[in-house]
Amino acid sequence: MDEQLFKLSKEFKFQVEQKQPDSIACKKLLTKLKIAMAEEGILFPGTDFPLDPKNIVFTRDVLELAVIMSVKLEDMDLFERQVSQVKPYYFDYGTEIKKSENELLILGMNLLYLLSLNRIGEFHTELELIEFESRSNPFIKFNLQVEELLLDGNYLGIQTICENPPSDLYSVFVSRLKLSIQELILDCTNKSYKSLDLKTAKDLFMMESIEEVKEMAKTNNWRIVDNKLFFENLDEDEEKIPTNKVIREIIGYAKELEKII
Amino acid sequence: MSVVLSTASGIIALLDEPDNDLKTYALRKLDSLVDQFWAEISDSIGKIEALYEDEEFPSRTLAAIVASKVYYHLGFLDDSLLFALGAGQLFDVSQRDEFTRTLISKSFNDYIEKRSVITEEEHKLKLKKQEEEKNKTKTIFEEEEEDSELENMLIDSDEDSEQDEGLYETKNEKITLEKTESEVIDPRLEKIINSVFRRCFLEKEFKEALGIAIEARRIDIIKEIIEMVDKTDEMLTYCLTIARKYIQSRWYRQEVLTMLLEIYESRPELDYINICDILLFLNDAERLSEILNDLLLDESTESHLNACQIGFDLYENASQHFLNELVLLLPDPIPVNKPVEKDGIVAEYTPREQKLLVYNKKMDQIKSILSGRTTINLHLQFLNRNNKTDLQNLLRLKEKTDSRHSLLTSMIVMSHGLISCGTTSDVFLRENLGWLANISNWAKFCSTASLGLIHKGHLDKAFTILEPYLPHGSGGSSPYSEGGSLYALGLINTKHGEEVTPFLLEALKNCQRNNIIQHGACLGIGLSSMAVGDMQTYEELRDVLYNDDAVAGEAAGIAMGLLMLGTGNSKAIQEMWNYAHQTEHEKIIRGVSVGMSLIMYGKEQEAEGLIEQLSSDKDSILRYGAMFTIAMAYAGTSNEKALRKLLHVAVSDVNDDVRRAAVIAIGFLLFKEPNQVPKTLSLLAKSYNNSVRFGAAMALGITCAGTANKDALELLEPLTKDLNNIVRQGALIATGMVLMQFNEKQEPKVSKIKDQFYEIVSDKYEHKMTKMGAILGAGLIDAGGRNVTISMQTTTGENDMKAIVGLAIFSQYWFWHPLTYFISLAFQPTALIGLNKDLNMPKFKVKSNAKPSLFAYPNPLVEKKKVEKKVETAVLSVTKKEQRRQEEKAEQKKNNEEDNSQMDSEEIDEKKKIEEEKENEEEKEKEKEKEKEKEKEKEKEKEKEKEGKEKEKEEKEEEEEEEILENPTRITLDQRKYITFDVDPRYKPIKESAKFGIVMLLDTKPDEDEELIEIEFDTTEKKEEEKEPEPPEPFEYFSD
Repeated sequence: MDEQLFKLSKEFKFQVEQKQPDSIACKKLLTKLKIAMAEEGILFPGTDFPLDPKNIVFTRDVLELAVIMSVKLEDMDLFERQVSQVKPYYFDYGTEIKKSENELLILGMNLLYLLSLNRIGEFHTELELIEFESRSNPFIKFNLQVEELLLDGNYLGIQTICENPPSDLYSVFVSRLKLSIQELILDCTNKSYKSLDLKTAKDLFMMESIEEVKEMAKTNNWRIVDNKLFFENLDEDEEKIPTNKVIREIIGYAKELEKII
Repeated sequence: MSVVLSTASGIIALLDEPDNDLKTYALRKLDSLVDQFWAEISDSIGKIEALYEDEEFPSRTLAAIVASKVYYHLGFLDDSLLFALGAGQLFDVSQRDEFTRTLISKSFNDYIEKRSVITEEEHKLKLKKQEEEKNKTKTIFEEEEEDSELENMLIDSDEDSEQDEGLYETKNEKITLEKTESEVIDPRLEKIINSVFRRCFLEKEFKEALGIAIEARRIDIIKEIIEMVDKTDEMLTYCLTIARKYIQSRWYRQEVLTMLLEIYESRPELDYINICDILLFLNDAERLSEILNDLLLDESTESHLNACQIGFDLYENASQHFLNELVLLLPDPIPVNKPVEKDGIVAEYTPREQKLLVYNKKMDQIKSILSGRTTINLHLQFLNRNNKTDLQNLLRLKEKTDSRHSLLTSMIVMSHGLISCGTTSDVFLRENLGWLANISNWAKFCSTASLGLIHKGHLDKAFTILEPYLPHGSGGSSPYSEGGSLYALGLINTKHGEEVTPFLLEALKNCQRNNIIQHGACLGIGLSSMAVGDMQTYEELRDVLYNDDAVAGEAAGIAMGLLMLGTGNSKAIQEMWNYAHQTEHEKIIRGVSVGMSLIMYGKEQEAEGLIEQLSSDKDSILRYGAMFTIAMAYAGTSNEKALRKLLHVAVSDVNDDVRRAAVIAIGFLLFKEPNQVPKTLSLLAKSYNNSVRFGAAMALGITCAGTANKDALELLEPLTKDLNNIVRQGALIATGMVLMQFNEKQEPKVSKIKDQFYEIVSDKYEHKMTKMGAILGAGLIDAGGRNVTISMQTTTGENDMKAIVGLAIFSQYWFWHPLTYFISLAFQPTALIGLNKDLNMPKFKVKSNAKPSLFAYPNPLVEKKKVEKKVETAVLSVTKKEQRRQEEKAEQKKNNEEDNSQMDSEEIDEKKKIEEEKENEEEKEKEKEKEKEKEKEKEKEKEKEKEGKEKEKEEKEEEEEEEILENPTRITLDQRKYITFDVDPRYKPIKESAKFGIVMLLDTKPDEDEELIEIEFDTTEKKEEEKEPEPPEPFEYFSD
């Protein structure tokens, strides 16, 4: 393998492992690395000829670093892309090499990412790909718990569990998760209440202060009168089932059927 | 270590990378994985398309090929092709994988489609330009007479025509608009097509390339291919056949042929026969006459023979109009002064004059050939000489027919006419005078007309034969026989009416408006001056039509059609169309609408206007005519659009007659591919509708005539037992047609169907319509002395106009029985006639490489003994037992015989003697048993056959796998492929491919004396002595 590649990868690693990595430098380095790897033919090599495990491990490590970098930079698009790039190295190419330490961390982050976006279907697909034994691993287990609580609607539970994420890197996703939960709650309260007083609202929305609630009300065009929050239930009448009409029609069909027989 | 990828998502993710190199890398990876992961990739097809469209992106073509492959897997071939075109070099046409092959075939389809649209438009524009130029020079009055594609669409009144014109123009505008939008061929597509051609050339797949080039209308490529191939001869013939058979667009066909002609002419050794073939197709009489003249000027025998052969071929294939033109163009004989005798010295011609004399003689010969007289005469001689009519069959039917029944009696006469068509043998009629005396009215008309059938083609003697019946002005015999004789005159002189037409016209004028005579005369004129297009005659016929007499008007309508056959004359169409709407007689409307269809014969697209008008008329008879117009205009073209229309009408029209006509018309369209017809008609033959079933039977009959097509027979068999008697009738007639010229050895069903005919006629309770079918069927199966077949194409595969028209009018027999005779126009003698340079038949042999019995004439039915008529005696059970035993024995014997057929001749002789002895005994014992006798008859027949075979064996002991045939001989359609010319030591055919028809023979030993075959007409000579008996007296008819 090329000396230059090694050098590049080392530099990349160094950059990423810094606490506040430089976004532009990192991305530039990553692209450079990828191009170099592509030229070397070790980025997604064809399956026709024997592969060198060393190369695979090398590429995998670089791609793993790229994932971590994207998390650190909080660049979610990049994150999604990098995860799907590294995945073949866990499942297809990975069958022949030693498992990476970071594998479960990265897959776990991916799961949490999907949960935070409420992409439950994909979440389960990804989950199926992970070996059953690994479910007890803290990285994965955390996600399973979150998903369970989410299903139960136990948002408070999530709140608590999220206070202790298995890795620092998870915090990005945890905060995103909280946001999406908040959205869910907002959606529900909108339907269930006509008005709420601000304090209850604050607790319900898991917000820090009443100010936050007020801001929220502003963005959603909710009125606040006398410390009370009034929801605008615009789409109230839309989905009323035309009961009488349906009943009448069904009886009509039954009659017709009777006649035919 | 090898790895199986389970997902391409990683690579797809690379597409989102900002860097172009990475994207390219990803695309390259995807390209190799697309066959496996296309489903996954299709989710991100948008990204790939965006890359293709991004003009900054360096690997756009790569994106295109990936997109193309994904779309291919998704089944969106249009999109796939679009991207493949964008892929440029990356779309490699030399690849053999499925993707490439599918796309190439797709691109060919697209290309061909577009090319044909574009070329048609170009042609139309060209025509329009020509039209405009013409119009500039012409005055307005002339314009009306102009006979063009446009005019044909404007048949109705003037107002309509203006509308039509308007429509036409808007259509044209639309076309040009479209052209600017979508119909311009993508140059990239053309590039691909061209590269495929190059590849074909490299791999020597010339025939494939040629086929595609012809379809894609790339004349340049066709030319290139032909010039490139070394075996040009083969390629040229191949191209010629394709061009003639499969190119449907007329002008394009002509263009291809013109190109072929150029190639043929540029070759050092001129292939006159093929050149003339093309010239005929291009209707270029002028060039053709030049070539003929050149050949005649050449002194070698070979060119002389070539000229004669071309002449015969021309007569067979060309239209009357073309032949007339050709004869006019040929130079007149150059006058040669007779040398003057001087002082007792016998003056001799100068060498130059001698040459001229020879040339003149040759020219006369050619003209006579082109006029058709030679061919007709030769066929007549052949039919007369090889007549194998078995009247016993007919007598058997006659005996079972109630002579008081006028329909069936006249059917017997018709059947006889068909059987002896062209044989000049009227023994049957003469022997059954008493019986004929019963005939009256229209039956008499038919029986007199049947004389015309019997003497069909006997041009010289037409008047002599019919003399006693022809109208003489002074009252005379009944109008029915007079009318019939005029019809007969037409039948004899079909297409050769130079002499008889004036007589017929005279008769038409002098008949004092007797509608029966008018009827006969009109039909006669129609036949004799078929396709002449003479306006004066036309007006005479039109006057008859305008008299509004149902009987005469119907005939006049048909006759007008025959006279104007294939001219597309818009004036005639206009007048007939108008009259059809004025008159109230259904017969006239029918005659006229059939007439109109005849005028449109072979006009293809040009007839669309008329077809449209007729088929949307509310009068069902005119719609009926529309179906026949389609049949005539597109005869033999298998045109898909027309076919679809017919099928639609066949199942949707409210009128049964129209539906029947539509089904029959399908037969006319498809007759060149008889094997396909049963498949097309199989569902219609099982229709609930009687008329549709009848139509299907007829269509099968006319298309598969003389082929014994297995599928056709299978479809017809249940129809002969149909519940409806008319359907049975049609099926019986059709079966007769299909089995023409077949013997039991080739098709075992023959004997079965013959027995069925007999049974039906003798069955007391059978409906007379079915009986009629059986009698006609029996006539057709043995028609023309068993020496003719029905075919709508000539030996070279051209449409035989006469035959097509004959069958079309024959199918009107449903309404008017005398029209049955028109079927004789479709009779083609299946002869091989060898001729020397003087147009005489020398003794000449050909070899048929097949067992003689396979193509032998059927054995004649042995006349039943009179014993049969004895009162049947009571049969005791003992005798019955005995009888059964005997039968069993006989059967055993039969089996033994069959087993032993390979035995030595000696053994057979011995055995035969024993058999004969036994037989004699048996005969004495059991004279009375009818069945027994039949059994014996069969045995005898068998023995006869054996004897015949033995004789042959003695003649040539080595093989019996072949047969030597003497000139002139019958060669059935199936036999053709067994014919070789290697046995005759002296004569060789001038045209190698000719295995039937009239063949000019090259004499390899010109110095020796030639042995010629003498032909004499027994019957005609006798006739002159005996003369025809007086026409039978009118007979009072009592209905039962």
